[in-house]
Amino acid sequence: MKNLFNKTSCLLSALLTLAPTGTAVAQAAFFPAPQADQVQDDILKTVRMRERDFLLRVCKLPEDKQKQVDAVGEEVLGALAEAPPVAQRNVIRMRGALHLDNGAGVRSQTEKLRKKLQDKYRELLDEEQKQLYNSELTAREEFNRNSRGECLIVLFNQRVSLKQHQIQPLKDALATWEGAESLQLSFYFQNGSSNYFPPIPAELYTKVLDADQLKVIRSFQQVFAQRDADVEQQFNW
Amino acid sequence: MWNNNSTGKAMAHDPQNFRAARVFLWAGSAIILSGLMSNAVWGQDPNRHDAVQMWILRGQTKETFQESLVAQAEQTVNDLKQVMEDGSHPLTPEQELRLRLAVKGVGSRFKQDISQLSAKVGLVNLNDINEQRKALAVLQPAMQKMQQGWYGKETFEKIIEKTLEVDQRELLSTRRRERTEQLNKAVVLRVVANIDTRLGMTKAQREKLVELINQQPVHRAPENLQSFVPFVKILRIPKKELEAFLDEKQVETLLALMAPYQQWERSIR
Repeated sequence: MKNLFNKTSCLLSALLTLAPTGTAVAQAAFFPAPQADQVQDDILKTVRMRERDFLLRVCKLPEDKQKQVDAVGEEVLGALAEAPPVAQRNVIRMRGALHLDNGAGVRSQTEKLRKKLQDKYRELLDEEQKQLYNSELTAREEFNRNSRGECLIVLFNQRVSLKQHQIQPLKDALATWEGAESLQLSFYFQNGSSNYFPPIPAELYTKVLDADQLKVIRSFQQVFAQRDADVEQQFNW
Repeated sequence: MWNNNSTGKAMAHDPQNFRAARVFLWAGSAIILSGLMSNAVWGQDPNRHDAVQMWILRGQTKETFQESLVAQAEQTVNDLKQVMEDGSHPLTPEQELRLRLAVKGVGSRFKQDISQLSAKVGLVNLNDINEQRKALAVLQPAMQKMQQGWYGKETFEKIIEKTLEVDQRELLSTRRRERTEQLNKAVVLRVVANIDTRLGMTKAQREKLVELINQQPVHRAPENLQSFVPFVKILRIPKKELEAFLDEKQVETLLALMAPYQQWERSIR
């Protein structure tokens, strides 16, 4: 009887302790990522082709070099495919609730592939071509980062009217938020009358905004844009 | 009761333990019965929920909701004050006082409206579709107000309009137009950055595409279709102009990507 009582109380306390993570655990158990490895394979193949096309567009390479580029691409992709499929899903905490970010694994694999391809391609280029390729890659990164920053700054300005001295530090901090990659977010930005506010990590803006502005930000409805592999494919094409 | 010599069997035959078990059972039944009785008396049906809480406040308390409305109204006045100062048409003390009073009015009007709605709708049975429909019909106007921005924004905007002088009103509308343009331009950059992940454009190609998108005029677009404007603008760029700076594969990919947005072309002019 005493043992039974002890066991029951242990079970109850364990349940109470685990309760906050219950939602995420249940989601992970009952809603597995749909055919994650297939979707991931397709995305990686597409990324490989895009990187190849980008290189050939920037540097006009002769046919034999193009064949080498293709061979290198196959090799890098093959090495990545041999590694076990990544079905990594981040759990994101937002205002006490837990959400699953199903696309995290695919994103990290995509980034890995891109970096490896770029390194291998550089080895095939002469000095002049390498310089041109590097400068185009940097320009692409910068354009992407700036566009994220611009969009978010305008959004903040519309919602809480930024002061001049707040703009640059906020832009720099927000440019690091990878959630801005989602095209879904720019759809929401357009809706000026909406109470929507993207789930930007608070630490990126709390040091820049004043107390009144933070009070307004907290009053908006934060909507979590789910990012799983399918959504990733659909919105990032 | 729990001494070291007693075993489970011995305890079960102990009359003192029987008594304790009976007391425990009676007490348990009494607690359950009183729980059921209180539900019946106070009408706490687990299927019945506060409609205003569910559809208007959405989980927030009346107080926190009111606080956030006041914060947004205050922010609007602070912003307006800044715009007027920057444009050399500062608010007079009387104008500012009137607007600050209007901020207070936002909170009290909301409180009043919510109390009236709660009295009209009350608790709703979630298993009864008709009851839900009736409640939603009463709450619909308030829900629409929420869709248009913060609750009470429309009335507040009217007060702003009445408070400002002609010059100040012009200044405000110019500033708002500029902000919308800034937003549209920023969204174009974001859209091009996204397209770029598929097209793999060079720096010159990206710049040309941004330029061409911004050149396409859009005179009227419904509020709910604002997000589609950059895509419709891309669709309006003549194919020949795209072919002039993109290669064949890129043009084909771009047009395929834009195809789903063709349905909005008629609505955006």
